Amino acid sequence: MQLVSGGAWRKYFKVAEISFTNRIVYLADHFASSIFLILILFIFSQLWKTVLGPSEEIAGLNSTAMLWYMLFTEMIALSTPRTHQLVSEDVKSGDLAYKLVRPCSYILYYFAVYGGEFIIRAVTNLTVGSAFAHLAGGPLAVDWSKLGWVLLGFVLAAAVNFLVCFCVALLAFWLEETRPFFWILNKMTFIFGGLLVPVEAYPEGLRRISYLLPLRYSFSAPARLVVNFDYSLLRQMLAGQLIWAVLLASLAALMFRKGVRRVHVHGG
Amino acid sequence: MFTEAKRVVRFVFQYFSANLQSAMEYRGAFLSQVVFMFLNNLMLLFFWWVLFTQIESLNGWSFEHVMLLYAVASGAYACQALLFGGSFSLSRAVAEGRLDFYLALPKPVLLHVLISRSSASAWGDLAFSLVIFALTTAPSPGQLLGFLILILAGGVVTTSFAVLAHSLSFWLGHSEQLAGQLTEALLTFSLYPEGIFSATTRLVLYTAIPAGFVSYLPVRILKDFGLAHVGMLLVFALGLAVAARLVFYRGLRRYESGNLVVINALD
Repeated sequence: MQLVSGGAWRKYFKVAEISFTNRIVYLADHFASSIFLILILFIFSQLWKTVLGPSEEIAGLNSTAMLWYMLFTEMIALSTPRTHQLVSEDVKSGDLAYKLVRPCSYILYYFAVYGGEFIIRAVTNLTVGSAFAHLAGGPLAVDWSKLGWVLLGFVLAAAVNFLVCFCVALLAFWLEETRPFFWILNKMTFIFGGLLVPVEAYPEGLRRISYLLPLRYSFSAPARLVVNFDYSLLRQMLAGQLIWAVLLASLAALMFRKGVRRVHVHGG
Repeated sequence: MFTEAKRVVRFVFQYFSANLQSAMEYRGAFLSQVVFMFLNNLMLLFFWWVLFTQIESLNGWSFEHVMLLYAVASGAYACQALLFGGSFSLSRAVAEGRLDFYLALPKPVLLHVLISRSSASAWGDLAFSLVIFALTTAPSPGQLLGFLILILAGGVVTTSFAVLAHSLSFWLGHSEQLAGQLTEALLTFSLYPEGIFSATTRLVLYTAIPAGFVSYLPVRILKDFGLAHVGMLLVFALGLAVAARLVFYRGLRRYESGNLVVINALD
């Protein structure tokens, strides 16, 4: 992995900008893709109304807060571009050979592509989803003075999520096909990421495991922060996100260094 | 007529067998897909397990009911993916003019397209379905046979619905995304207990998006057997299959060849 310093960042911003611009062209397509988000929110609005009624709570959240919580976890999940799948395709198709000779870091290049696409997807999902959640569950009381912290949490959540996916994607250097691992990661996200219900509702043992894993810091923690802002949660979340970002970035760099030496490029 | 039916069944099983042998060619990959799909489905039940630690019942639905729901829905999906895997990519075949291969052969076009593909990972769905059913009910051989009939009927419903959704391509051109979203909606609704939905939504789920016939009604039959419900399910599955066939062949009149030279095996 190349070291990046000073003006070198500019090219990655440019890559992110190109990725963003590319996705803007398909804006209508992104809005159409949000139909699945509406479907899920519709089902869960009915589920939480049935389970919680007007006054009951799970993990301190009532039916309206649960719906908004789910909107934010799903927004992150559905806005995550499938950039990581490109690694497997690069190895299989032989494109990797062309990417490696470019004067930029392979990992940071894909992080920039991911960032550009994530923003456009997140905005469309949030627009469509919040309109639906408002109609189906009622408004969310937001403390706008905390918006900066919330945004920081989401940016770090997206970064940690990218690094988790990319570490799994780098297994392609050894195995070529990584889809089965993504199925499992996807379902682990359901559980330890608290995609459908906050991890605080879990039994003690599982809650502790989810606190230790990175998935909670990518999904459950930032979503919970929006619907129920709390400074102790903010501190805990930021600490978890920063620790995992450093650990996973180091792991990705190590995997890339080891993997790229043994990869066999086909085709091209 | 009996000879013709026998010929069709043999045709279906020949394709099924060829698809299975093809998947088994890479045994390691096949087994890993099956195992991962099984685990994938198992993790879906986790949410319900957590929820039922907080509540006792969900409008009459217990955790056992939800397990049965997952057994039935994944079984129905497995039947579709194993026997009629071509239904997932039908709209692409239509829009890209790839039906030429099937039109040139002396076999029923729709059936041929549907059975020409099979998903290896769906064996994991089937294994999951049978294991969850066995864990939930400890079935007798008769009950197991009944369960297999129910998931096959569910598979006919999901396949017919997919054919209807994908046949829109005959009129709309590229509509893979729309067809995908419609079939995704059917699968998604099939995995949530009908007890959470309002009366209006349930009406939709027994008509326009027939999740009720994929999973809710079969679960009701398994918990409280009634011939009327079995009859309703079979009549609906048959009716939807006839409607899907009708719409597909009506659309086929509008089909335009893509004049493509493709290797069909790579589709």
